[in-house]
Amino acid sequence: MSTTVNDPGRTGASPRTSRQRLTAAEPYLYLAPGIAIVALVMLVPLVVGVSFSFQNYVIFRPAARGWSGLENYAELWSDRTFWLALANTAKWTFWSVLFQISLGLGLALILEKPFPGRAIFQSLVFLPWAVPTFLSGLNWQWLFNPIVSPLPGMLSAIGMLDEPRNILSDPDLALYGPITAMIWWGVPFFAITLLAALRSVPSDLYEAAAIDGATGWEAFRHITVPFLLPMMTITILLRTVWVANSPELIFVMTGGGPANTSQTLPNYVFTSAYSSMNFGYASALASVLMVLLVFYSIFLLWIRGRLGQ
Amino acid sequence: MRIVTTAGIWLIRFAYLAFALFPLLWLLRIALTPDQLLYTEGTTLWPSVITFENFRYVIEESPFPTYFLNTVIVSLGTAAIVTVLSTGIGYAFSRFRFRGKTALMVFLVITQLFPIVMLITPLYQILAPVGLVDTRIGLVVVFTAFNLPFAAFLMHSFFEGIPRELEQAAMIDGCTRFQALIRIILPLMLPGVGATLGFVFTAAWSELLFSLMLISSEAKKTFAVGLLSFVGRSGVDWGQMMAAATLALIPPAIFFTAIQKYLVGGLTAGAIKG
Amino acid sequence: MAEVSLKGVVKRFGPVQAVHDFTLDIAHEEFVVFVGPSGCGKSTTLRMIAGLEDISGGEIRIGDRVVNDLPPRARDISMVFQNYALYPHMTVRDNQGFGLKIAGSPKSEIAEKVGRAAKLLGIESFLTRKPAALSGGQRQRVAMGRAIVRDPAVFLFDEPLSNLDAKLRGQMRTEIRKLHEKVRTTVIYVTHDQVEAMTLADRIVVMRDGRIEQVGTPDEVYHLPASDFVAGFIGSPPMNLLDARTVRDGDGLAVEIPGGPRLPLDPEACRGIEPGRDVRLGLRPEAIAPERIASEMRRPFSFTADITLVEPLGGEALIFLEIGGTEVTARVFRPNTRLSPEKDVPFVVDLGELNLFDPESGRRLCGTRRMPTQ
Ligand SMILES: Nc1ncnc2c1ncn2[C@@H]1O[C@H](COP(=O)(O)OP(=O)(O)OP(=O)(O)O)[C@@H](O)[C@H]1O
Ligand SMILES: [Mg+2]
Repeated sequence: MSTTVNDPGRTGASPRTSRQRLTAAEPYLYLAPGIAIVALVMLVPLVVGVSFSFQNYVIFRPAARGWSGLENYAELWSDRTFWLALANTAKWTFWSVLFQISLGLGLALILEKPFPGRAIFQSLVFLPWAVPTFLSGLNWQWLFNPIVSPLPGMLSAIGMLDEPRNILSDPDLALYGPITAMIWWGVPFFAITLLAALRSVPSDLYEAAAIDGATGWEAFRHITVPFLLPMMTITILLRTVWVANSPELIFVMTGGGPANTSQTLPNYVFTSAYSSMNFGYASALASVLMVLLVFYSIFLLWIRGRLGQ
Repeated sequence: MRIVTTAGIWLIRFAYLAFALFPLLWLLRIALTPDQLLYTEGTTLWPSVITFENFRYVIEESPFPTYFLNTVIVSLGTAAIVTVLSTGIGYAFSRFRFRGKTALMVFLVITQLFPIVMLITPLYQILAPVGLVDTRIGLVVVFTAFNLPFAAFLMHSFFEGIPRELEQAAMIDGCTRFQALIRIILPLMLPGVGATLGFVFTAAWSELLFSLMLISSEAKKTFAVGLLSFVGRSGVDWGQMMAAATLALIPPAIFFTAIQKYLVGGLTAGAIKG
Repeated sequence: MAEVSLKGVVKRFGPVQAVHDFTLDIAHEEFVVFVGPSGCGKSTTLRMIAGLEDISGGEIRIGDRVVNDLPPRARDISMVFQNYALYPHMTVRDNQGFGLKIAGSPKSEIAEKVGRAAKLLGIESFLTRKPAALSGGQRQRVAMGRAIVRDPAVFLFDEPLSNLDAKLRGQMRTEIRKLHEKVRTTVIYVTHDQVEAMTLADRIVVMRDGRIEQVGTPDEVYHLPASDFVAGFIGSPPMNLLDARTVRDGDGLAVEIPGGPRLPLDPEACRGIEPGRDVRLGLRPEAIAPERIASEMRRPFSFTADITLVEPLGGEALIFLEIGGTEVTARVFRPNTRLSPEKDVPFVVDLGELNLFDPESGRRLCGTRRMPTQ
C-alpha cells in the first residue's frame, strides 16, 4: 500500500474538529453527483423493473394493471419462444465471444511484433470498433443482401451456400448473420486488451524458456497462456455478459426472425416492451436473464479464484 | 522456407485488413453508385461511374441533418457531463480512503452486468412523469448514467498514473486540494480526459434502444432512430441510406482514431490490474 | 521565529500504530535530522508536520501556532520530496514561482525571488527548461529552489538525496549544509543514511519502531549512544557489541569478556553498577588497534587476539579479530605496515571508550567517555 494516501476515514477516533469533519466528507463530495445519477438511473429502475415482473402490466390496458404474483413467470415457463431465445442467447454469446477472442488473440500476436506500416495497419484494423453498433448491424444486413452485395455470391462460390441468397431469411442460418457482425465489431477490443496483456509478460521469462530450449509454440503454451489467462478472465467475463445482454445487432438485422429463429433473450425483452408494450412480461424475461448472468459471473469468478491459486 | 512463412504472415495481415475494411468500403461503394447502375453492377467491386448525388440528397433534402445535429448535441452533452462526473469519482477512488469505497467500486462493476434492457420499461415509467420522455435532456441523463461506471474506471486508472507527491507539493505550495486538482493534476491528465471524452462520445453516438423507446417526435430523433425508420420504409433507396450511414460513421471514426492511443494506455492499466 | 514542537504525537493507520508518543522541541534555525531504519516512522512524522497526514493524537506547533488542524498551505512550510515532485508541465521558472503565484504575489516580485534562488543554486541557465530535460542533480536543485523561493519558516526534506548516485550525493550534502548557512531557517531532514545524519545535523533524532530512541548532537549520538540499537545503527562499521559480565577488580570494577580479556572500568564513570551483572559491552572500531601501529589512546590496555581478516580501504583499514569467540572489527587509519591474518597479535583497547548496555532492555548503563563540555 502506498504511504501517501490521506487517510481521514480510518484514523481511529471519530472526527473531532470541523476541519477533520470536512476532510472526512471530502471524498463523498467528489463522488456524490456521479454515484447519485447512476443509482437513480440504474439502481432504482432495476428494483422497479423486478417489481414489474410480478405485475400484470400492459401499457395499452391500464385498467388491467395489478399484482399478479408469479403469473408472468408461469407464462414464460410455457412460452416456446422463451426457451428458443434462451438457447439462441447461449449460441449467440458462445460463438461471438469464441471468435472474438481467437481472432483478437491472432491480431494481438500480429501487432506485437513490429513490421513496416504497423501503426497505420493498427488504426485501420481497429476501425470497426468505432462503428456504432446499429450501423454495424445495418452494414452487415446489407452485405448479406444478394442484390447489393457480392458476399452471398462469394459464399456460394466457396461452397458455404447452395446459391447466392440471404442467410438472414433462412431459419437455420439467420442467427449467424448477427454473430458475424458481432465478431467483426468486437475483435479490436480483444486485440487491444490482449496486446496490453502480452506486453506485460516479462521478457526474461521468454529468454529463460529459450535457454531451456523451448520452441515458439511451447513458450506460447507454457508462458504466454498461463500468464494471460488469470489476467483476462475479468475482461472475458465483462465482455461475455455484455454480448449476452446486447440486443441491437439482432434487433437491427433480423428482428429475431424469421419466425423467432434468431430470437435472443435481450431482444425478446426489448420487443416485448417496445412493440407489445407488455412491461410485466418483459420485466420477467429480463429478470431471468439477469439471474442467469449473475450465476455465470459467480461461476467464472470461482474459476478465476481456482486459477489464481 | 522463410520466404513462405513471411508471405504467409503478410497474407494473414491482409486477411485481417480485408475483413475489417471490406464492409466499410462496401458502404461507401454503394453510396457512390448511381441509382440506375445499382442492380446491373450491384455486385462488382467498383461501379463504372460514381456520383455524389446520394450525399447531396441526404444533406440537402432529407431530415438527416436534423438527426445529425440531435445526435451531436446528445453525444457531446453526455461526453462532457460524464467526463466531469467520472473525474470526480476517479479522483475520489484514487486519492482517498473512506468508508464504503470497496462497496461503491463493486456497485459500479455490478452495474456493468445489468441487462440494460431490464431498465427500459421502468426508466420509461420514471422519466415520463418528470417530462423527460421525448427530450434530448432525457437521453443525456440516461446515457450519462450508462457510461459513467466505465468512464470512472478509466479515469481512475489515469489518476493512478499521476504521482501523489505532485499534488502534495502543490498543497504545500499553497493550493487547496481542489486547486491542486485543477492546476496540477488535470493538466497532466489531458490525454486521459480526451480518451474518456472520445470514448463516451462514441458510445453515446451508437446508442439505439433507449433513443427508440424515449424519442417519438421527428424533430428530436437521433441518427440511429432516423436511419432505422428510414430503413423500415417500403421501397428502400439503397444509395441514400448508405450515404447517410457513411456520414454517421465519420464523427465517431475521427474521435476514435484520435484517442485510440490513450485509450489503449488506459485499458492497459485496467487490464493489468484486472 | 519558527520553533517546531511536537507533544505526544501519535499516528495510527487503522490498527497499526506507526508513531508513538513523539515529543520533541526543535529550536529556531536548527537543523534536525530524523534517522532510523526503513519503516520506523520518519516520513510519517515529517508528513504530519507538513499536514499531509492527519495526526491521531497529540499536538504540533510551528512558531506560536498549534497547526494540528491547519492544511499544509497554511503552515508556512516547504518540502522537498524524495522524487522531487516537480510539476512536469511547467518550466523550471514556473515550478519555482508556482507557490508565489498561488499566493497572488506580483509578477515582478516572483521574478526577483526566482532569480535570486536560481542564482543561489546555480540553476539560472535552465530556467526555461521542463523538468524532463534535467539531470537528477539538476532536478534536485530545482526542487530545493522551489522550496527556498517561498521563504518558509520551516524546511522539510524527505530523503532528498536517495535518488542520486554516491558521488553526487556527497556533493549535494555539502551544498545543503552551505545553503543552511546562507538561508537560516529551521530544517527537518529525514534520511536513513547515517552519514548524512552525522554530517548535516545540529541534532540527530534516532527513531525505531515509531519511537524516539535518542536525541542528541552527532557527537553525543556517536560516542554516547543511548542504547545498543543506536550504537549499532550509527557509525560505519557499527559499534562492536560483546556479551560480557562485570566483576570485582581489586577495589574497583572490571568487565570480563568470557574467553577474552578483563577490562578495568573507570570507577568514576561507572559508579552504582554492581559486580556480577550481565552487560553488553560496546566498543567503537577505532577504539581497538594492533599495538605496533596504534595511535595515541587516552587509557590504553593491552591484550592479545588473532587477526582473521584484513580489509585495506586505502586511507584506512578494517581488521577483523576474535575476542572470546566473537568477531570484532577494528579500524586503523593510514596503516603504514602491511597487515595480514596472524595468531596472537598484541592489541590495545582504549578504556576511555567503553560503553555498557543492559542486555535485556538495550539501554545504556554507563560509559567511560568524557564529552568535551560545550
Ligand atoms: N498510509 C498508510 N497506511 C498504513 N500504514 C502505513 C501508511 N503509511 C505508512 N504506514 C506504515 O507506517 C510505518 C512507518 O512508515 P514511514 O513511511 O513513516 O517509514 P519511514 O521511516 O519513512 O521508512 P523509509 O525509510 O522506508 O521511508 C510503516 O510500518 C508503514 O508500513
Ligand atoms: Mg520514508
